[in-house]
Amino acid sequence: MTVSNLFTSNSESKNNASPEFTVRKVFVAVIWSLVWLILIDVTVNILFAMPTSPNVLPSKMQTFFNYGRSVEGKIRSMVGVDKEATAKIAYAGWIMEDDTGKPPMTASAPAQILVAAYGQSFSNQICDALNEIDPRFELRLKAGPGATLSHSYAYYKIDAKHQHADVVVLGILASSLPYMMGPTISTLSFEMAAPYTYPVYFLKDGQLSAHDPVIHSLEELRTALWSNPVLWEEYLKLLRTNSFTYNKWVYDSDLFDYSSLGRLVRRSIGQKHVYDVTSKYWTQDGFKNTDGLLDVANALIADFAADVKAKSQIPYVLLIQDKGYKDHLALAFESQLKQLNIPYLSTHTIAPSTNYRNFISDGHFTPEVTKQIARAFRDDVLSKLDKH
Amino acid sequence: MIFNSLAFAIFLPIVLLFYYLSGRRYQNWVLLLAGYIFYGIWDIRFLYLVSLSTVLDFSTGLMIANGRMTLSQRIAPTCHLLGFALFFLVPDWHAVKLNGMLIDSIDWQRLLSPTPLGLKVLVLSVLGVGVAHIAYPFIISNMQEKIRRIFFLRCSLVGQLGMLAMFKYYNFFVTEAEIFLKDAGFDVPGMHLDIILPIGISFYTFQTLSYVCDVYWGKMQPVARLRDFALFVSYFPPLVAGPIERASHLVPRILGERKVGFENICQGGYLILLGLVKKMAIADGLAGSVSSIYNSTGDVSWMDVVTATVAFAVQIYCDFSGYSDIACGVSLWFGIELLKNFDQPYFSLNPSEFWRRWHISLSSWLRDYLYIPLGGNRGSEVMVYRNLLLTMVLGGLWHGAAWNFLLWGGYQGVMLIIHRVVVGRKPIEFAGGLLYRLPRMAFFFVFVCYGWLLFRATSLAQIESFTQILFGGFSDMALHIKTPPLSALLGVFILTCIEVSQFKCKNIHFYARSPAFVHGGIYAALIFVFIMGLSNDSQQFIYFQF
Repeated sequence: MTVSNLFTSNSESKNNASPEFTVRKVFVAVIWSLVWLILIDVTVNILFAMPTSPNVLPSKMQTFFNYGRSVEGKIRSMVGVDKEATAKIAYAGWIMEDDTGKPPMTASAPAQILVAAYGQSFSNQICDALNEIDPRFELRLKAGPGATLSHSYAYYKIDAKHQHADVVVLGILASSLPYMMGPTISTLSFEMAAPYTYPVYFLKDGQLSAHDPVIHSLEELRTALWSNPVLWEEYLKLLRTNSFTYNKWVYDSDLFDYSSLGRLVRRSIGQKHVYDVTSKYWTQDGFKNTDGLLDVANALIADFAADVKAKSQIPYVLLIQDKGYKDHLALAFESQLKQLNIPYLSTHTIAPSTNYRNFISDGHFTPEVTKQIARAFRDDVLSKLDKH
Repeated sequence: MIFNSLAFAIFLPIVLLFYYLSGRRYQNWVLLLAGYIFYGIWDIRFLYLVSLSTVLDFSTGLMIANGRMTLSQRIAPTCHLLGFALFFLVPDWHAVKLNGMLIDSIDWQRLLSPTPLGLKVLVLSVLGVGVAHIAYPFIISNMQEKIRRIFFLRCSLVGQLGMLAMFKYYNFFVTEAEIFLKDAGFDVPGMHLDIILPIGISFYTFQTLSYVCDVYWGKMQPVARLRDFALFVSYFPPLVAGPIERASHLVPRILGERKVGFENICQGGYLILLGLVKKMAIADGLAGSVSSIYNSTGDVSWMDVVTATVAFAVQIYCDFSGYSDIACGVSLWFGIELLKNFDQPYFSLNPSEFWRRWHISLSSWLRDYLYIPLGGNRGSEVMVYRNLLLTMVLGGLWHGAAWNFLLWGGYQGVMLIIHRVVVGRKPIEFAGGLLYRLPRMAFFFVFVCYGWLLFRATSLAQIESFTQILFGGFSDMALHIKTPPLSALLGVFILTCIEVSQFKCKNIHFYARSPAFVHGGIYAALIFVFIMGLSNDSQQFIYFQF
């Protein structure tokens, strides 16, 4: 073959009788494509409409085409005007004083060990596994879906005066660490938005301060959504001014919510938003101290440990490195944890986050891995308690 | 700037607007400026390398063919090279912070402080240009034509391949040599250089090399004006990931009259849409699944390796051919047709056919500028096998400085040799329909996939362990691969339908002959999958690293 006969381009006008693209033909085809797109949009909206009751579990396809609904739209469909019209997930994660009075407050017997854990489903699962492999451990679990460090800390602060646990655990999840730059995880975890709120901590003259989240309970949220627009506006104002994680295209409800294609477009905007925000605080090399993220996180851990130690309890920090985060939490916090002599466990040392076999499809650890972590946790705690 | 970015979505309409509004005289200026902006956005310093490549081959081309350069032909490259060194290398461009395509902030003091590297390169450039100007009268009066032609050909080859070797292969070979010497008990100082691989260097280097070779072989006349040659080098659609254009194909299109007809717009639009679907919906969608196995530090099963490798075969095809489709589509909007780079490679029945369908611009380049000069099919069978193996190993090395690329190239070479041994010198093309081809296609696809395993592997140890799993790991059939997103699954289905139709019609624009509702339906399906794919994690084009 010579050089000259290689020159076949993608238009193939020379080697093949190229079909004619007349203006009329293409115009009609474009009109048809618009008709098809409208048909697709309507069909998807009908076939994969979300269940009318928020308590009916949607199918995978229904969930998929709902990912791109605005956070406000999701919250409004999740939190109805009354309890019947409210999804169960909407109740999760709220930091409420009422909830802190529930038992167990102390270990049921001297031989028993009460563990109070503040975290998320990961920390709950590890503690449940701990109880399963060693029933001497009793559990007092406070958590929120995908909760961030500031949520766990705030929950501990409220719950501390009620519990007399032997060991107090703070569960820090790698993927949710940047969420603490806003008062809700829903601005970043927008696909599966959970409405609960928590304070936004920051350092002022070296001291921890916090922005109040404006809405503190599901009831307040319901009121704001359905009968008190002033309160809702105040909450949005807080998000706009004091949250590094807010994006109006992702959060605020608009016409895109009514179109399946529009929702897909919003989902892509959301992904880009999440990528942009996350990359401000985390790269493949580890977490970054942008906007003082690590300073605040270290201050929260130090304050938590000092508080727990003052009550003669054992503080324990679980560094939960979920899929892909390598040992980045350890890199970020290990030096302070060692310096302040705070017991900790990094899951990466037991279940490397780069081994996808350690995880199930929803991102949690497999039950076997959870048990391995729990065993290591138990051994470490027992050595600290000297109760072999 | 990547094709699937918001920056490019803004950049392209602006360039098109200026292009269409400009008279024919100025259109090439618009394209040249656009090429420099497109490339400079990554790292403005590397524009100097583009300039060096341009100036070197512009001058050597003229000296090979004409034996002399006019005054303006000597002044223009001098100004180009020194200007680029002065403007792009001497200032500290790190002082300019970009936010997308917009300037975020400029630290003027830092910007205007000359960088030591920039000054060194500027001085070297001045020296180089000075020596060239001083030597010029001697060369034109004293050097015999034959010697002059070979001398300038060698100048070009040494310069271009030297740049490629320096930026792409130096660290690899130095590191390997260090390891070898240390293992042998020698204490060697570290010679590793802290250099970045300039994006697309292999593509534009091969493109300009083909120009010099063609001029040397008398296949084309040299380009007389620097600005035309500069556009040939930096024409932005194929600049960073191909197709590797031939001067004898692209230069006449740059110099000649061109019309952007309605057909160009339609065909270009379809290719861009198809390319975006391939890249964003399919390749980016599958990237996470492939990585979940190939980047995993834990155990993987037989099913994992097989599924991830097949997924990678689809990913790399969609990633690379997607880029080529977009490049060809964009170029059609400027009225310039680019070379065809892919022709449904997975429909191939044997390695010979595969290399006529996969990365055609590279395989034909390797054939014309390496395989044939090595002897090609001439000589004994053993020499032909040597030529095949050497060509493919070097082709593998072109992809990157790593053992797995060498292995991949060697594997392709061995496959070609075996095929030649089995079918003889002149294979008979299979004439059966698609259904009859299918079993043979599937059989050959298995071998293609093993090649992709070698290509994608992160280390030689992984190649060894995955190969062991493939041949003996049948006890563990569990599947741990990350499920691909819906966009990838739906995209693969739609792409398969399109490719089958394309194969049957033997025309990429087969849809235009369909009834309007089918024609529109294909557009709509692609737009729908494209919108779904927008949510996938955006990955860099795989071939950018080459």
